[in-house]
Amino acid sequence: MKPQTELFKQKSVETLHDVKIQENLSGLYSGFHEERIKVSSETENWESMREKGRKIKAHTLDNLDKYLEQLEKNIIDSGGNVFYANSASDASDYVTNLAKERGVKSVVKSKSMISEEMSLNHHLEIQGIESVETDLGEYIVQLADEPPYHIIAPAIHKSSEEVSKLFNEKLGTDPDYGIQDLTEVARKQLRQKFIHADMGITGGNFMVADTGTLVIVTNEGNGRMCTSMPRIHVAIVGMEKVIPSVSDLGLFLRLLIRSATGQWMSSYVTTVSGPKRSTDIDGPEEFHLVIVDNGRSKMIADPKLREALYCLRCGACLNACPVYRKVGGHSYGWVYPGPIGSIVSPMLTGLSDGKDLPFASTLCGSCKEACPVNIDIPRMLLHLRNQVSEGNTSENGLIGSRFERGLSSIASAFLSSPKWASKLISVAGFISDKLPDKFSVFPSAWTRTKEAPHLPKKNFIEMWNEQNNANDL
Amino acid sequence: MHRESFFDNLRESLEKGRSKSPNLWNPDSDQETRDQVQAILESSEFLWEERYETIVETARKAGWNVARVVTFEDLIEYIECLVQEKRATKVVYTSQAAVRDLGLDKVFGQSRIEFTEINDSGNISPANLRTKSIEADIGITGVEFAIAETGTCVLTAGNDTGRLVGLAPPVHVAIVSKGQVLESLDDLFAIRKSQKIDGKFPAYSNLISGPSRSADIEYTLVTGVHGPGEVHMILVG
Repeated sequence: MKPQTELFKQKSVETLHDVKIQENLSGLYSGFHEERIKVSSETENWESMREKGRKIKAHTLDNLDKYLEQLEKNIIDSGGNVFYANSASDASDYVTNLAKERGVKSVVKSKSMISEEMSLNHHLEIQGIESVETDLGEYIVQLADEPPYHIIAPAIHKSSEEVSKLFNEKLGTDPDYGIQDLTEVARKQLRQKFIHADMGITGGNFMVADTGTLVIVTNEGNGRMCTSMPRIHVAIVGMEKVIPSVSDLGLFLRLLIRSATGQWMSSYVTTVSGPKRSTDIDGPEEFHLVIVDNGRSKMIADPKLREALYCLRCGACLNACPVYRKVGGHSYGWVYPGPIGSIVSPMLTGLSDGKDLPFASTLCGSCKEACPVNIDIPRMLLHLRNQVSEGNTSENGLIGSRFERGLSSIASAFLSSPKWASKLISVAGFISDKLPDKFSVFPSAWTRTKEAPHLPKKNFIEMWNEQNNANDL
Repeated sequence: MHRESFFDNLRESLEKGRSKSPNLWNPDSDQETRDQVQAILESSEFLWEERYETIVETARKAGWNVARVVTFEDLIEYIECLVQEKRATKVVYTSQAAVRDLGLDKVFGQSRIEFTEINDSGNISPANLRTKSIEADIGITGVEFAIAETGTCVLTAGNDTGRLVGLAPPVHVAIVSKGQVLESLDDLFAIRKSQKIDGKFPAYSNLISGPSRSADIEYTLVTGVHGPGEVHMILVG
């Protein structure tokens, strides 16, 4: 997906004025957010589980090379293939070449955010290979030719009427279909795709090093279909998704599932360790695991940002974020929206284009509180803001920075002397009294939408002195 | 070549951002794992009654239709009722002992309902087996384990369990026997760990907790998206 992070402000404004999307977004809070709070409070030792999950993630990332090698060995031992992709294009080249070599005509895909990083569907299609998204939400956004809106609920910005209209246009179904009918249509359409597909492509929620196992968490069953029907299974996974041991899988499943949808358990957890065994009745003959860097090593190299790779991609920080719930997923301009996206997207696609994203937060801390591995998102957003204002974006952000620093040194010179501060405030009060409500002397995005406050004619110290003088009398 | 540059790059980055976190890693020894699994399996045998009581609750909450039957006759009757209720004409089942021993093809031999065992005997070609599962109205399977904590059936692919039997038909019936119900997810993964040690780790397994579902349109829950929309867990004993 081509990053458009530089359009954040423009797209946010558009979304804020879109009454329909605002209405559709309002369900995120009551839907996922409150369910998550309920189910996590019913889980014994939730807080200590978060801490443990966090520690394991930190340990894994510190030793990522060793765990990847262990994972690789185990997968190869069970008959699978492992490919390491430095970049998104390495990964999509591998997959498209494999598809061509094996004579693949059609591909079914289960939801994978990393394949969005790679624009994989596009790469397959220009080779004449059909690639169909099979998660209901992903299917809808693919038909609409849009990127996903939310990590776990890709079409959550669309009302059922809009989906009905879309299906009517693309599939010729009844325009008055309700949600149940629409689901039935998708089941029938996609069932045929599953039956005829030569290759199933999935993402992965975890890769377990000590057993060489890919873990896929789903609710619809498309993940099971993609790993059962086609003769080739390709899984594409970001390298940070590895966990050391199957012994910790229970912990991570609880953290992920309960934070994502607020379910006690998802309908399906699929574990794949290589292709079908020779004695198995059915299943794919080939299994390929594509492990992707695509900029992640840059985050590993920065101790202040490494923590962002603990992310389980549950989407809880999106639902908790008062900014995401208003500006929506598309405003963020790349694969990962919301608070975690405001760190990951600029890091993976460039901070100079994405410089507005770290500012798309009130720093209220809801994201950190919601995060199942307690990622300190606000701290990293501040760190990135600092980088932007220091001009470390490989572009000239320095001008604003110098201006701001100049202003603040003047301000601090005045404010460090009580006498001068008092005088300054009196002068400011005098000036503000003379200005119109929406003054245009210093026009900016902020002053345009805010009313200028009127300072009182007398400041506190003056009033205090007057009062004391009066009492003295 | 890709592999080499991938790891060079990764190791360089790891070195740059090296944190001072202590190595907390202390995995169990193989013997500890085996002992632990021994205890888990014993407790499942010993506490089956208690586990049944728990899983009835959790499985219902997860969206299973849960029934407890005492005898094989009751179990067959349950299946008979379900077949009638669904007006099923085609039923597939796995060749796991818990299912095969019911002799469903004989029990229903006189009816017009087609019962097909999905097995590796070679009597039916793999392509036809696949079609049978896809066309079936009901799929009947046993389980490798069930999990009381989450209301889960663990279905593991193998020479007696085809992947599509509990997946492709709109109705899935899972038969759970005494001693198969584990307490928690952690129990299952301890068992997996020991299977790995013994070289018996399965290629493919699913933890199934309720029907196929989606809330992708307007957060509205619908069932039966790609997998079965109706699921039955039958506890035998």
